[in-house]
Order: sequence, then C-alpha cells, then structure tokens
Amino acid sequence: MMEVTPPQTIGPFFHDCLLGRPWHGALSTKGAASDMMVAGRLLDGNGDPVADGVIEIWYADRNGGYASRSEQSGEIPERFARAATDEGGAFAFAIRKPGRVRLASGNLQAPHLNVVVFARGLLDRLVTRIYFDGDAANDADPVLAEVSAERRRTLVASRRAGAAETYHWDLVLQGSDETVFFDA
Amino acid sequence: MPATRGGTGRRRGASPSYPPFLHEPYASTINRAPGHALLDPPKGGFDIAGPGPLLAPVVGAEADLTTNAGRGGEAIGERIIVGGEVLDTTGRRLPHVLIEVWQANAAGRYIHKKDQHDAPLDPHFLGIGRCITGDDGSYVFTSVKPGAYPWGNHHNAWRPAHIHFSVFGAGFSQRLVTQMYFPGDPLHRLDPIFNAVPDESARQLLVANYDHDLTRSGWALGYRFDLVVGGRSATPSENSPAG
Repeated sequence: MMEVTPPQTIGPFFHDCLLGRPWHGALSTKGAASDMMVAGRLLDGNGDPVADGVIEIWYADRNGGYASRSEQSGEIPERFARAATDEGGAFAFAIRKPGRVRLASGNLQAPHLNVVVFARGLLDRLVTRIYFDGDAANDADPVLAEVSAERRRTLVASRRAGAAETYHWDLVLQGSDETVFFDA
Repeated sequence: MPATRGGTGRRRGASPSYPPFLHEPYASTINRAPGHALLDPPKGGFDIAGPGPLLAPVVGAEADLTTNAGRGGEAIGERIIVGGEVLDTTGRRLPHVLIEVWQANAAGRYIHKKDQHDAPLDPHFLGIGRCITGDDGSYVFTSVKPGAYPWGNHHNAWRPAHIHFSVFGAGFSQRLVTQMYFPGDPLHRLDPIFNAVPDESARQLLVANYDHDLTRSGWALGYRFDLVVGGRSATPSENSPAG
C-alpha cells in the first residue's frame, strides 16, 4: 500500500479558481427544476461565521444511483454543487429531493446529501450528511443509527415555513452544537 | 479519540499522512478544529462514486498559467512545468481525474481581493489552472514558480512557495485538497501548516522533486509531483437503485 498524499488546508484564496470561470454562476442556485432549498451558516467554535469556507454537496439521483450516465453532457451535473460562504458565513443550495441509496448490506438509507467542507484553519476536509426533518425513513437509516441520540439532530435539516420546501441546516465546526463528521 | 489527534478511525487512523485537526502553531485551527472524534461510517456508507468523472469533461483543461490571463502577454517569473500521476493507494493510475490548481505569482501575491500583501500584481498572471489526467493517469501544466509570502499567523511568518491542488478522484472518498511545495526551500522547517503533518516521510510526499527529464531545454524547469489519493473508487455493485 502506498502512503496517501497528506491533505493541507485550502487557505483563504481559492475563490477565483474554485468558483470562477467556468464554475461561476453554475453552482448552488442552478436548476430551475429544483424542488427544495437548503440554507444555513458555517460557524466556528465561538459561534462566529466562517466567511472563507467552501461547501460541496453530492447526492443520489431519484433511483438512488450516483454514477448516472443519463445526465446531459456539457453541463455540471445537478447533483453536485459547490458554494462559498458569504461574509455572514451563509450558504444556500437549490436541490432536487435525493433518491434512497441501498448499502451493500441491503439496508436502505434515508434521503440525504453528502457534504464536504473546506476552510482556512481546517488541515483536512470534513465530511458530513444532511437528512431532512420529518422523513419517516430517518428512523431506520443505518448511518443515523450509529450516531448518539443527542448529536443526531446535527445531521437533520429542519423545515422552514414558507412557499417552497425550504430547509435550514447549520454546519458547526466546533463546540456544544458541533456537527457530526465522518472518517470518510 | 478526539479529532485533535491524527485519528484512530478507519481512514485517518490508518495512515501517518493525516495531520491532526487541532495544531496550535497554526492559529486558525484553534477555533475551527472539531473537538469530537470523527465517526467511522457503516461499511460502504461513503464508498460511492464521486462527482469527479462527471465534472472533468465539462470543466475542461486550462493548463498554461503563463498565458491564460488572456491579455496577450506572458507571466513574469521562473517558468516551470509541473507533472505527475494521480494514483490510489494500490498504485493504480486514475484516468480522467479533475485537478484544479491555484497559486501566488512570482512576487508572492495572489489575485484574490483579500490578499493585500505589498507585492506587485502581474497583469499577465491569474494563478489559476485546471488539468485532467490522461488515460495513463498523468497530468501536466505550465506555470511560473510562486514566491513565498508573509502571513499573520505569528511574528515574521512566511508561507513557503506552494501551489494549491484540488483533486476529485473517481470515488467520493478520493477527494483531496493539498499543497505542493518545492525542494530545498528553507521555509519548510518554519511552516506550521507543512509541519502539521506529523510524519517526516509523509511531509516529503508534499514536496515536488526536481525532474531534469521534465525540464525542457531553454524553456522551463520540470518538477514531478505525484498524488496518491486515499479512499476507494466506487464499483458498479455499489450503485444499485432503491427497491
């Protein structure tokens, strides 16, 4: 086995590369056909906004598959989005409802978004998930089942009253409300 | 085990390459490092195909940073050719991998509006590029050697010359963001980000090797930098639709 190349921090100067041309305008709010919105803030251990972070989400298609070839070529796939946080640490994603993915064990997971976060001050990426409050499938989700009851709520986006299906979810790097992160 | 250590989990615990999240000499980690241990997900939970193979053909390559500012001039600085392979830990080369790179100019200044270091901008240099590995897992791009630059982490702090790399492998867990350093740089031993990697031989994986075979006579010096990504490429059986 070869040793992996160590990760290093993304630093504060990534925006022009990771969110510039051709990404600019193509991410996170694309998809006139989106049916849901997830918005929140990236926060540090003092509860202060992380204004120089970047979040990527990736989720399964309606059939629970990831490697779909049926997506239109020439466009960034809808199921991937990348967003930088703003001065208030805020981010937002317009998404379609993810399909349910079956583990190799046969267990069916509840609908979720896979999340990767990078920022100055993070020496490695952090991986987490967003589930959706009110989905009955959450009770039997095999990944949520591994999380302690008191921390499980950090992985579940809450419904916001409003016209469209809008969910709120904060990503908290450290502290009493720290989000659960996975060694993945 | 708190996430302050390198980790004891399946991924981070398995290799001396992973820096801890909390590394106090790098001040920004103090309020941003998670305090809880990372959870080992159930087997297969994140062994899924990643977005990389779908992104690469759409995003495309922009592999000459000396001219891609598009203003008809060439960047100032020591011209370099950077090339290497992207592999997984079994040594398998990964084709069609998207690599995004960014760096300071030869004076040590980024185009980013938040960089206010008192060094000149180069109108012919953006410091942004992208490449896609070929069928043989290899990539190459041309740039100029970035300068070191000062930062506010501690007194008289300077980042060694480095190029940022963002890599999407094939699998979701093969996502890597890292920095490439240059051989013989006296600033390595003083840099808390570089030294956050606890193992000396792992740190050396971040340093490119001067490669005279990659050097093009009369044109540019060559540096070889291979990237070994952890995690797994997804296999077809992991994408069965929900019943």
